Parts: sequence; structure tokens; C-alpha cells
Amino acid sequence: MLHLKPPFVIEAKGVWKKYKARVSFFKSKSFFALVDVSLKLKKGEVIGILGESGCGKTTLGKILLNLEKPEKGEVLWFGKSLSELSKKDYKRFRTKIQVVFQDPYNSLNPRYKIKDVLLEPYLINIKKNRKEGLKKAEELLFKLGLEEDVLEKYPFALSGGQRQRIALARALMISPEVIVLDEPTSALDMSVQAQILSLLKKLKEELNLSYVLITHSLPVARFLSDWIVVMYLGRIVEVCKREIFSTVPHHPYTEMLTLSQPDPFSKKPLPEGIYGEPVTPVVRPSGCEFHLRCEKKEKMCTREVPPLVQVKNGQWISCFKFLT
Amino acid sequence: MPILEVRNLTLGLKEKRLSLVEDINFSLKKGEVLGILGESGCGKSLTGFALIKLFPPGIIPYEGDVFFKGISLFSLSEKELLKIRGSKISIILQDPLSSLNPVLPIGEQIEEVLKYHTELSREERKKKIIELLREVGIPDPELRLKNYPHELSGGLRQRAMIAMALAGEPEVLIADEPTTALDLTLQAQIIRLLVKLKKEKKLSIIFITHDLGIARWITDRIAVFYAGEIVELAPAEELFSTPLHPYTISLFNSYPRENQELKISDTRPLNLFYKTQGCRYYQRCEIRCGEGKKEKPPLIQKYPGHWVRCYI
Repeated sequence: MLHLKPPFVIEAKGVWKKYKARVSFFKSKSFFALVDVSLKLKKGEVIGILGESGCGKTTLGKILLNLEKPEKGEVLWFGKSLSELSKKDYKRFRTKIQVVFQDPYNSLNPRYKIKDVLLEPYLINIKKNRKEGLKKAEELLFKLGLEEDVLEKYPFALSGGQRQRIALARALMISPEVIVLDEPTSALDMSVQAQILSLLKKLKEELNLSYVLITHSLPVARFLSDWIVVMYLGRIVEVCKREIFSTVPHHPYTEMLTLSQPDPFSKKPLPEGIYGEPVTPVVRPSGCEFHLRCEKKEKMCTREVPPLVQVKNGQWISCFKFLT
Repeated sequence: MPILEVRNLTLGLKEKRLSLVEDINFSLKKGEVLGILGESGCGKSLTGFALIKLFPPGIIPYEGDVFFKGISLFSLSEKELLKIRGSKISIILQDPLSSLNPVLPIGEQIEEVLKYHTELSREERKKKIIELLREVGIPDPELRLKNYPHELSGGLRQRAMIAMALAGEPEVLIADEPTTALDLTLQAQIIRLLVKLKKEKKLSIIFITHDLGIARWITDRIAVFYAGEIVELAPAEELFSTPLHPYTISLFNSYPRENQELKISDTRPLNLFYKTQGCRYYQRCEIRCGEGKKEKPPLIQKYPGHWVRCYI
């Protein structure tokens, strides 16, 4: 990901994002939700962004979608900065990146019939032709394993899994190249999750799509991604190729996440020595953000932020332990 | 004697004869954790609440009873029940933010339980609250008890909720998805706390969850629910190594594993209004045996302690 040769579909370069939080009635304090985040996505690849709540993974998704503007750094589309794209190119970019949200109950307009949900992006971005749009919608529904009669239904008449597939179909209506999947299965039941996950895998291969998968579930990330990116308090602490994930040593935080992830099919014990919870980025700890919860911390960790360096072919870690 | 026993519990709608939870039988020993595993809408929370004779509006018990140390809970009066609820049997819920009172400090909320269920004086109550908060791993309990729920982080809130449930010194704890709203690392900590309580206090726990991995960590036995019925009941280790019911197997197959294709099962939800004579899982079943179409299979003991509701 970091070492790959261009062209990259989408790339974040040293992105910083500042937000304001109200600390009292009169005072607000600004803080960084993202700190110097860089990542590159190649065509047909999947990046899984893993982290706990408040680690900035959704913010990163929004930055890539250009729904939020970074304070520092930039997002590149095929090597071109978004801020430098001409109006025409920018419109093209808009049609090439799409998003699917976590909650399929809130992300579909309840007053639209499914056919209108699907047609809207098509009519605006591709062609003002309802007939062709409907044809495309029908094709997609078939591909996603939905019956054609859902077109005339309203979202409330569909189950959670069906709605999530509609949200996916809506994203695919304008043939994007990148889809940002923000916790696409965490609101769904196990068996429905299995359906959506294998559908995502199939679509990726058939349509040569790239995904940015935002998730808090390690098994989901490992099932779908080529790269696993672990974030803590707005900073990337580790990047690891999925193939080697199970065999190499990791950043202490990744280690903690792996230990906390229960596995029903192994005799993995309930972990000892896991304590603390993510602190808020509003009061950012000095040095390495993770040092408050780290068992292996040293003096240096409280003072300096470790750089993200390559430790192996296909693995980058931001930890002083790996520097020497 | 089991500490809690459920016999033929059947719950359904008040206005129309339609059972949502049917013929539930299980027992809970002292110091045991029984998991109730199932997907949304399978009646697992309904069953959990019914154990302390609480029903959502419009739902009544048709049949069955719950016995706590041999006492029938369903025949007790509301007044007598109050002595058991919250003290002998208490409950913790999924989302502590919406189940704690937002306008009272957590210390006062715990004190309320002590006022009702114990004879302690004011001073003793305060001491007890601090002791409880310390026990569930809340740092600086003397200061924390003055905090309002919104001032605590998610993990601390859930711990405060557990402290509240423990205040009446319960013998049975009903935990309804207590870690679903929490982050991964917090989830592990809360589970460890519950395991500690089970060991040290010989607490019996009914653990309601949809997460296979969590169930494996904490439970001794697991009851798998499908459409309001127990389809399989077995010791946890045995269930994961040799699942018998087709539904349990399909549930296990839907767990995402690296480098492995997922087996997709039919996930159409069951329409309970459409009364079937036969097996409730028939529509989604891969095998679809002839007997299952005609008649509902009974829950039979296949191996010692391993029950399954299937003809195969």
C-alpha cells in the first residue's frame, strides 16, 4: 500500500483533520481527529480500517469522500489533488466514489420507493433516462439476489439485509470504482452478515472494485481486506498485509485488539492484562497516544511520537519497540 | 436443586392466540453460566425478562412457570416479587446510557437498591457503595459515586450498572447482551469481570447474546434459540465441537473466516402468523426431512446433556 507503484485510485497524503468540541457552555476546544494519516488504494484492492470508537476511522472515510476537508494534507484522485480538479473532472470523481453506511434503516429515504432510491443517483449523474436507469436497476437487483418486485416497495417493507443490499445497489448504480463501506454489517445478524460479506467479495471480483472497509471487527476485516490498517486516536499505528497478519508480531495495540477478539472455534483464553479504554482525542496524551495503556512502554514513549516505519515486507508499525 | 428452573414457558400475544416463545425448559445450577444464543427476534430477550415475570405490553404467559429455589415466581404477588427482583435475581442490559437514570448520580442510584433491599444505615450504605464500585473495577470510587451517567465513559457506565445489579447480593444475574454496545477491548474486560463474579461469589448467570465468540468465553452451557424455541441445548465446548441442529450448523458456518468461502444460508425471517404444523426451521432447512414437514420435532436428548430438536 505504501510502497506500491502508482497509479492509485485514491490516496490520502498527510491528512490532518481538526474538529471543535464544546468543553463548557462558553468554551470550546479544537482537537485533531486525524493526525498525519496517509494511505493509498490500488484498483481492485480492499483496505480494512480497524479501530475502536473515536479513533477517527469514520472521519477518514468522510475525508476520502470529500465530505470533509482536511486542515492539512490532501486527497489525490489518480495522482491529482481533489482541490485542483477542474469542475468537470470533479463531477467525474463524484460518480466514481460511493458510500454504504452502517445503518440501512436510516440511510434510505422512507418516502421513496426503492426504484426512486436507485434511480436518483443515476438520473443526476449518468443520464436523464428513466428507462435505461430501470434496466440497470433490474440488472443490479438480479446480481444482488433480490427479486424485481422490491422496486415498487418502500424501505419499511424490507428486512435489514435486503435494505443493506439496496444501499449497495444504489452505490453501484453509477458504476463507481471505489466504495467506502462504513461498518456495512455491524447492524446485521450473523447469517445476514455472511450474505452481505460474500456478496461484497463477489462484486469486488466481478466489477474490479476497490473498497475502503471501515470496521471494528477483526474477522470481518480479515475476511475481506488485502490490507489491514489499525488506527488509534486518529493516528495509523500499524499497516499490515492480510496474508501475513496471523504470523507476524504486531504493534502492542493491534496485539491487544487481537487478544480481545473472541474466536468461537479455538480454545483462545479470555485475555488477562487488558485494561483502560481509548481516551478522548480532545485531550491528546503526549508522545505515543497508546502509552497510557501499553504494557511495554518506556520513557521515550511518553515524550515522542514514534514514526510509522516499514519493519517487514508488507508491514509498517509506529512503535519504538520495532525501531531498534 | 437447581437455583432457577423454567418449565414449559410459553409466551404470546394477549389479543390473539399466537405464541412467540414456546415450550421453554431449562434449569440453572449455582455458579453456572447458561448462554441464550440466537439472532434478533428469536425471543431471547423476551425469555430473559420473563424469568422475573416482566412482560412487554400486550404479551402474556400462556403456560409454564419459573421456579426460583423451588418457589413458583408466577404465582407470587407483585409485592412479594419485588423482594426477589433486583435483590435475589437482578438484570443488566445492553445499553447502560438508556437504562441508568440520567438525572441522578450513580451513587444515589445504587443506594436506592440498598434502601429497598437491605436494612443498612446511611453510613453503612455509603461504605457498601464504595465497596461495590471498587469490586467492579471503577477507579477512585469515592469520587465517582457523585458522577452522573453522562460523565462516565461507556465502560465505566456498564461497570456502574453491574455494581447496581450486585447491590442486592443477587444469586442469579440476567445479562441481556451486556457488551454489545462496547468496544472490543472493553468487552473483554467486562466479560472477565463477570467470570470473576461467577467464580468468587458463585453467581449464576443467564447470558443472552448473539455473539458466538463471547458465548464460548463465558458460558458453561448454551441454549440455541430459533423462532421462539430451543433448538439445541448443550455444554458449550460440545456445542462448538459437535453441533447437531441444522440451524446451529448454519449459524457457525456464517462466521467469517480468512481464506474460506462463507456458506450462505436462507435468511428469510419466519412469519409466525403463518402457522405451521411441522418444524419451525423447515423453510430454511437444508435437509428438509419428511417428518419435519408434518410434525414438530420434540427436544430429545441425543447425548448426555446434549439436547436437540430435530429428527435427523
